[in-house]
Amino acid sequence: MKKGGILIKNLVLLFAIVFVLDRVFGSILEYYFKKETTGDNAKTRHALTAVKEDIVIFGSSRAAHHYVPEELEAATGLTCFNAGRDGMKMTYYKLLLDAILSYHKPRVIILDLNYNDLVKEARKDDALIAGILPYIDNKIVNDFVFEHEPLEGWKARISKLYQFNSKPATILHHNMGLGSEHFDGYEPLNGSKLEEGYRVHVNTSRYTEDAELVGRFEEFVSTVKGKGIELYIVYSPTLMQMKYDYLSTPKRISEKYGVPLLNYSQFYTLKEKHLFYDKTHMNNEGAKQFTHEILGRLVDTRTPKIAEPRRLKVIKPISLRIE
Amino acid sequence: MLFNSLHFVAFFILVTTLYFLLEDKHRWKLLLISSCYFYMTFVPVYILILGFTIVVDYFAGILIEQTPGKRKRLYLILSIIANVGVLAVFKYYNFLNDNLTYLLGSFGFQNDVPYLSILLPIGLSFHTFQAMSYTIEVYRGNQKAERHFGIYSLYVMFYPQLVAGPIERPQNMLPQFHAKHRFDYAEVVKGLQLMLWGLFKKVVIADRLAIYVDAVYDNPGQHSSITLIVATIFFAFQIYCDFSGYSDIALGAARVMGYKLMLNFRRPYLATSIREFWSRWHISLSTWFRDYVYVPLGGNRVPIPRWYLNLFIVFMVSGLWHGASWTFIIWGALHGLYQIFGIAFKGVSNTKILGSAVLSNLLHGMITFVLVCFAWIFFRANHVDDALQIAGSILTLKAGSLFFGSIAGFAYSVLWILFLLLVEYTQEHYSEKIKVFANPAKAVRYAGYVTLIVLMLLFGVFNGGQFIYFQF
Repeated sequence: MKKGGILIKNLVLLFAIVFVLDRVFGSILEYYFKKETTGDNAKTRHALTAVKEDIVIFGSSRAAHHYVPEELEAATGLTCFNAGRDGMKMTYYKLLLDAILSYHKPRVIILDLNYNDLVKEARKDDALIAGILPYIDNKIVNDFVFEHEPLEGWKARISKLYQFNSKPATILHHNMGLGSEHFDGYEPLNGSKLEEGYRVHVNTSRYTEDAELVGRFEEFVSTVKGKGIELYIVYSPTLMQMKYDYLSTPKRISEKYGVPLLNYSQFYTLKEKHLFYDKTHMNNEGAKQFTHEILGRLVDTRTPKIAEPRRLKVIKPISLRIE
Repeated sequence: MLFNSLHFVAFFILVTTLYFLLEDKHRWKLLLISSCYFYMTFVPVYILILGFTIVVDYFAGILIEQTPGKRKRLYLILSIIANVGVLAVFKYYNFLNDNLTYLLGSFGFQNDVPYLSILLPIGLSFHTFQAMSYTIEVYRGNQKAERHFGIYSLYVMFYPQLVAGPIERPQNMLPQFHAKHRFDYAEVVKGLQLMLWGLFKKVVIADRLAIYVDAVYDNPGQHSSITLIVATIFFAFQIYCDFSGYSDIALGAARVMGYKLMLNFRRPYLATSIREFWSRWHISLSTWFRDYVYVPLGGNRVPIPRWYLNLFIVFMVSGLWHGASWTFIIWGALHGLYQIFGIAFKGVSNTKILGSAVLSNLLHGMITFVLVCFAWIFFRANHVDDALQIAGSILTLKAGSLFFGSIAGFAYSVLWILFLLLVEYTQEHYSEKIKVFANPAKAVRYAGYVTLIVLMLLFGVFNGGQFIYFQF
């Protein structure tokens, strides 16, 4: 078994080299990761550690592309940060909420709900874990990862490179000043990808709510209400129609906690398709118009704008239309 | 237990260590117990199906060997019926019932035959075919019947190749299970090298490509021709890296313990004809069909129309072997047609382009790749309707822009395909000049290992799920 000893020695040497390189390259990646100022990573980092704003918007890509903080700030005198992130769902919103509330209490929170936020989708949990592993040094993130995917947590703790798995291209991209620019978290989309003869897409796919995600949604609402923060749940506009009842549960929970639920999903029709980038996202022009619209619903515009931040006031939530 | 899981890493280290610590005479027991455990991590109760096949073929082998004359044939037929019967029930029953329902429905009748609510046992087609090769070889007199029940069970159940091959022959494996194996440093290193390369292909290339391919193939109607073409090319490399990655890990895991399994892939996308492609792709299956179906049908020693029919039958059956679905049957039929046209137009395909062998090879290689990719559409599509829609969109050049999904993910996919092609081209043409894993310089070898491990940590997709061929 002398050869067995040589094998073990060589394997130890190999893993020692890998370990050193892992630390070196991992640290380099971490350095440039933290230098990112554009893209989702920079937004998440800001949300996890540095939010000071009065209004915080939560949601997925639809939130990120639909709410213009600049417009909200101008109208309310309150500072605003849009924490919406592409491809994320309820679990991410709740995680981010916990992280923010651990060091800051916003005055107002807007939760932009997506139609499938309460539906479990393949790979979404994986995408969430992969998206937050670089922030594992954050206590809230660390606790979340070790509670839900302990193996992933250990892998990220052992290997620094694994923390940044699949990230090198985006790190390079964003450090070159490329990538989607954001303005207080808002990521404008320009133009339109909709074809000339686009007709409203009717989504007939099966809709099965996931109890865990529904629970997270309720926890989100109860946590915000428990902290005495104003909360608005909004379905922002789309050019899609849903053939399933995605509103019942959010309506039930919002009513339970006395939270306004504003359904703008069918607010625009095909006549206004120039406001849309694609069937689910509005472009910059649409986002500005929608932000003004929602301001009209949220803010008492009769009151002159004052320097001191003031409480938002709901005038009239639009009627819920349950398809 | 998947090869790309930490569970397997722990299992492999434990089993291999115990293997070398045990005396030779006890090793088969360790391998058999560990193989049972390996299989039972999927659906434990299905070990009974495997047990049934093993018992039937074990006794069939002995009876075939002991019995002279026509009764020998009877035992072979009974054993084949038992094996194919298991396949028929667990793999094809619901498919046949589906088609019966459709057929009766078109005449206005109702099908009252109930459906079976069962999961397909993992790797059923692989170990059934391996078991069948044993009884056939005993019948042909090429292999002595194995008297040691434990060793025979191990032949069917050897964990590295239990669920996705290579489909071994008794002449290769049984003597190895009886032989003594010493710890051989060079063999252990070669085995580990194979495992490393296989794992790289699976987690860095195949599972990365799968993200894009799934996104496109799950919504084929929404995509342009260029997107569908790219997704199909990606799938060609995905399935190659997934399956050959599995095979490399299987070969490597066996080799570490001193067992040599047959080569299953030999750089198939460098083939310059469909015939050559099949001599490089899933070699253990194509040689199985050659030896046990094609040759008994008469092979090419029959009139030409019958020869063509033989080829077509073999590839249709090969398609059906892959799965109980018309998509696989059409995939097989396409390859059968390719083979027939390849033979019929051999004169044309042998013509040199501008008198240049290099240009000819390049063109033939590209044509072969395009044909293989076209057939992959049917293999990958969720339904025949989807496949036809995809093929239609590609052939009619459906307008639209290229869907990228995640730009970074798309860039990695292209990068790793180019990397794979570079490695394979080098292996094919410059294997004597350019060596990494077999380089005499330790620094070069280590650089190769470290590079692959670092790339896996940085770019590997570790949640890609199981290997595609497990479902067969």
